[in-house]
Amino acid sequence: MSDQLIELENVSKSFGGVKAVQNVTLQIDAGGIVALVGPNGAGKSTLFDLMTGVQKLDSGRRSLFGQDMTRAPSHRFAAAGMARTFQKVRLFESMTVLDNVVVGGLLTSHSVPAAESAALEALGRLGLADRASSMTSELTLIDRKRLEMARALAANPRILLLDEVMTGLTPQEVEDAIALIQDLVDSGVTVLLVEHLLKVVMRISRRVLVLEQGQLIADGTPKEVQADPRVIEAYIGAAHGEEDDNAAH
Amino acid sequence: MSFIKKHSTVFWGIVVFAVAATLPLWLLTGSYLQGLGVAAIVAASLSVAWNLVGGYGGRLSFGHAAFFGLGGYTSSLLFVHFNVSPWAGALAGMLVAGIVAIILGSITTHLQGIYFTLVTFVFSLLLMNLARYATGLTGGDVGLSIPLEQPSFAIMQFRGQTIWYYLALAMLFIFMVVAWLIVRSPFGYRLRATKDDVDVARALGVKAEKVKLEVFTLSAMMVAFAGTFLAQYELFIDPGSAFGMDRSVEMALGAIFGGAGTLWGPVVGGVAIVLFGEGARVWLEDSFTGADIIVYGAILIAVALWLPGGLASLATMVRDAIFGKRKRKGDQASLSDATESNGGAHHE
Amino acid sequence: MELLAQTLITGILLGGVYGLIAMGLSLAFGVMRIVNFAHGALVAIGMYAVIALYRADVNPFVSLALMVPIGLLFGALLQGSLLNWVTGKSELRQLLLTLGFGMVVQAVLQALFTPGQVGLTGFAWGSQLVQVGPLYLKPAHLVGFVIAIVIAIAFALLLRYSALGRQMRATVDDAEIAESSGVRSKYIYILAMGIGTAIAMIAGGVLVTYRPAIPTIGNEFLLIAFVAVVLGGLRNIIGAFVGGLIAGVMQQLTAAFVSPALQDVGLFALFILVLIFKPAGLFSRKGETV
Repeated sequence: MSDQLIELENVSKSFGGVKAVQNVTLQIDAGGIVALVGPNGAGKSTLFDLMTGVQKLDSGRRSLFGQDMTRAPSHRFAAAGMARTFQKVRLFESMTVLDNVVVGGLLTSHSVPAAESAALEALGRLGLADRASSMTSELTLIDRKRLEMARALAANPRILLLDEVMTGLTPQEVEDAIALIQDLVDSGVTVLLVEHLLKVVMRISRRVLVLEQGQLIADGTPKEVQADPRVIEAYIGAAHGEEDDNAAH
Repeated sequence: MSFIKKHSTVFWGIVVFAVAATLPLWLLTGSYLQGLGVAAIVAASLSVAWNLVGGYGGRLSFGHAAFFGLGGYTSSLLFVHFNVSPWAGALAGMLVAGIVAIILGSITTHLQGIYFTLVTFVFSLLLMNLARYATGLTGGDVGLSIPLEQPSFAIMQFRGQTIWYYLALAMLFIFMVVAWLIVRSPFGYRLRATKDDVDVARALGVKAEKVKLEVFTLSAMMVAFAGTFLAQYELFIDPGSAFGMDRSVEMALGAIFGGAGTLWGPVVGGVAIVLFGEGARVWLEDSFTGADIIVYGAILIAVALWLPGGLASLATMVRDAIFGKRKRKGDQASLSDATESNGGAHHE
Repeated sequence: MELLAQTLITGILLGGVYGLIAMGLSLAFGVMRIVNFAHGALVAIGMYAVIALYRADVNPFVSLALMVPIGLLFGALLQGSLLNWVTGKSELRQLLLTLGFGMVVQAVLQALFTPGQVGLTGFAWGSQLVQVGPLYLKPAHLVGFVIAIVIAIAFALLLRYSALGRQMRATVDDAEIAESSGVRSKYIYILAMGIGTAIAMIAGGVLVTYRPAIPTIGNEFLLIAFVAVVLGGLRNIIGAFVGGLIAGVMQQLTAAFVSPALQDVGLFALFILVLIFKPAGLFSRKGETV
């Protein structure tokens, strides 16, 4: 089906003896915003890594846009039209702002000038066009996040995975981010978000997946999920841990 | 946007090479100075080639001499035993080096940092030992002399230093063009992305393993050509100077001293090292031998302590001090030059 | 068969000393995360120091005892005044600094002595063969091996049972955690470097009792040390000693059964193979990443 983007079937992943993700099965279709939430340590970033090919599966199958990607390396995921940001912003520190985004642009443009055009456009959308020739070390945190986003956008993805982009942003910056994400969705990109800010997430997503200790415990509309007793329990139980963690952010 | 600013690399490049071409006429007169010029230009060329892997690629190879020796010995043996023209021999040498690079590169592609450095280091010494051992083939430790015949272009032998100077300059020019084209190409962006953060690069569709292997092979072939050049220039090749640690370190040092990951850094660094080394040798000749080793050691220590970004980072510091850090507006014209931004800072 | 036994024994005897050198290198890497390209030069300093003392009529084996304080001091100074600037910094800087220092040492040795070989002329223990059972051995080999083993065991005990050893091991396992639990890194580094240097210099002193020195000899031992350390696993100090033994045996086997000129080739090939297939060392647990 052309509408089906990501499919995970019974995937698991362990590190050392710890089961980060256990037997997760899900399907993500095109359109709108899908959120992945859960208490800290639930395995959200690992699940992202499995969805994007950054980590290999211990067991199970995965596919992207209908193609089996169980054993595929991450560059094939990118080539197929998937882009992502990372929890801790990772930029190419030896390159300028523009060059960072050009790398993203080269995924779909085949020459540097074409990639530069795409890059400048992406930078424009994120309000960074006038910093194009700055070095990444000169940017503030919010600008670094914007740069990472611009780089992902320049790749013209069909699906964009954002790993905790809103952490560390002021309320105004959060609203700006939401507006940008809505823009993207309107232009046809499906967005998958990992977020801690539950209120925001419930407000903007059409569908919410809840992960706890590596297992998918809920999957539905925001209303359904918020009322789910298992979800409530998972969050109360982890509430203290989350407070400490938010402070650390 | 002025024409010069838009194409500044090309403009200054042409100026530099034009000036360099005139040097034998007024500055580098006589065979000693011209010989020094040849040495400096060859060192610069080797550093430019090394820089593709070590600077832009970010993988410190301490064994590039392996390819230098493979190039030099291939062409020399073909000439001495089969009368093959060194030009063809150079191509053969590049082919041999390329194949070896593909094999070595493939099996070491997963190695990072110091492990890669150690393998390349040891590999070159392994070849050195083999070359010393195969006395029947290579003349062993004593080395292989290339018989001087009637100098002609066909056999890559020339009378006097001047032609060699221009040949070396041509080689450097070609190497620089290759480097310049690579940096501005999609391949160059992918290479630098791989250097900075390989996982993120992959997440953006870069085939990191392929990129690493390709640049390694290209660099090896370039270095192999220079190996043939030097063997013909000196009419001699021996395992120690061809495959030895000194050769590998020199190549790396030239690029690092000048500024690894920059376009002109290796040129400046390579030339500087030859000049410093020769200066030390001449100055301390009567006091003790091994003066150039002390110079290299001192340069290494100085770079490590104070200037890991090389002379290029020094130039940036000076420029910023004089002109202040400019945040240039996003003008498109100068963006193509932004690709030469200093990559040395990443090593921190 | 006798040749095999002879070769194996010689390999082990030499390997013990190589293992000693490797332990010093592994210590620097484990504790300070420094890849010390000057380690071979430290061995060379030991060799030349013993030669100099020999010329002043000091018995080489007595000199070895002197290497302890000299080595500790020299290593401590080296770390405190030079290496600490790059400890914790990028690998490139460490590599360049130690490589440069090694070259300077080489040039200084060349200036103080000669570019050629110098040895302990007239030192019988290093040149004459003594028959032990069916085998022929050089006394110096044997004594050297015993010294190497003693020091290795002493060092292993130090690592395992002393407070200092515990602190060093803690830093090897995780520098950050060690720091936060009260291990004073800077002093540990200085001590570790001092010990590593002393070990290297003693090894050098032992080696010179049966082979001549040349200013560039440091490179040879640096290589063997790298091979041994990689074989044993980069963080495994005792493993490095075992790696040294393996290196010694490998070297002698190649020399005896293939060709003396190729004695290092076998070693290098083994080194490369290990790095490709088991980069964490021959004794690493499965899945241990580099």
